[in-house]
Amino acid sequence: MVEHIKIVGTRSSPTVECNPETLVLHLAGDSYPENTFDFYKPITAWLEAVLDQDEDARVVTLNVELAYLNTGSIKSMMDMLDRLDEAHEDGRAVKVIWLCDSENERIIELAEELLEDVSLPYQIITD
Amino acid sequence: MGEHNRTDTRIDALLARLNGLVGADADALRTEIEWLIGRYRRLDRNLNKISRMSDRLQAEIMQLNDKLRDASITDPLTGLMNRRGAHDALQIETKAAQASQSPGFFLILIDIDFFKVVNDTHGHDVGDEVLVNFSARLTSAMRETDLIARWGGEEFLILLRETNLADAMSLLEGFHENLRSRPVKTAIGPLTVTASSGLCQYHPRDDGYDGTVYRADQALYVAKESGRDQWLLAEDPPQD
Repeated sequence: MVEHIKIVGTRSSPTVECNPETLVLHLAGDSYPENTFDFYKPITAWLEAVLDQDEDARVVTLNVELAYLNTGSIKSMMDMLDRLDEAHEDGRAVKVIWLCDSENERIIELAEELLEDVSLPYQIITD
Repeated sequence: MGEHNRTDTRIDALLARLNGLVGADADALRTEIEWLIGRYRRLDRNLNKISRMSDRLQAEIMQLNDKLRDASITDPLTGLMNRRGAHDALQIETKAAQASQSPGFFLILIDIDFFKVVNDTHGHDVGDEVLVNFSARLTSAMRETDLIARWGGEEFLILLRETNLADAMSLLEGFHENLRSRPVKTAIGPLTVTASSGLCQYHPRDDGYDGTVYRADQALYVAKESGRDQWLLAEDPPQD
């Protein structure tokens, strides 16, 4: 059984929930933790573990509500998107939903740029 | 870019060699290597993308830094430079004066007379209006090269560069005269406002600009004590 991860957000690190019941990985807030790779390591490992369960037919959802990402967070996001895209090409049901504040042009642009190369289904929602 | 082309050439050569191989092992090997090549190309693309995004972020941070720097030396009410900004400017000007052995800059400390009465009688909003209008009047009276700062409360500091005593005195006299004869516009109607000031030239015997400010402040004090609505020239620093 894959673990249930819950991380309470701070000023510089996002609120995280990796739910093995719903297979939803939710990230919200600002992401510029001091050690980005250490911060994202358990999260990417969780995603890896979920995607490794080949027999699971349910949709794996990456649900992003990040308003700011530092360079390390962008790298981690790219790695997760690449991994999800690979799983999608292998026939797994995956999707990405990125919720952006319509006033935050920077994050909308970033979401579009990050998702332009993937073939998996995704939605950028602005509100 | 050279590195990229060299790698591409080697990938092409590798793929050509793989295509020459036959058999089940060759097919498996081809699949595996093609996957790795795809992976390499994706990572290369990601690296370029991250660099672009990172550059953009850095540019934004630099712009924000500039804005913060501007905000940290600006008085929000009057838009003039604040005391911190004035200190920075005075330091630069003092160093320049020390290095060039030139006569040095002039400095004015000017304080609005009976400002507390304006605040107490008409309220702080009117007081703020007086400060804003007084600042605008100072700005239009001084030259482009002069630096005007809100030194604190109702006190302002003016740094006059590349001038002489006669011009500095006439500039200051003109300002006092103009202020006295043209009331300041406020929401409750025109208010006649006067000010007192001390004029001082940097002197090598001043202990840095602190000494110059001190002497200007002394002159301002005397101008206040001896009736206000006037300016006074500061005394030279004492002989060693």
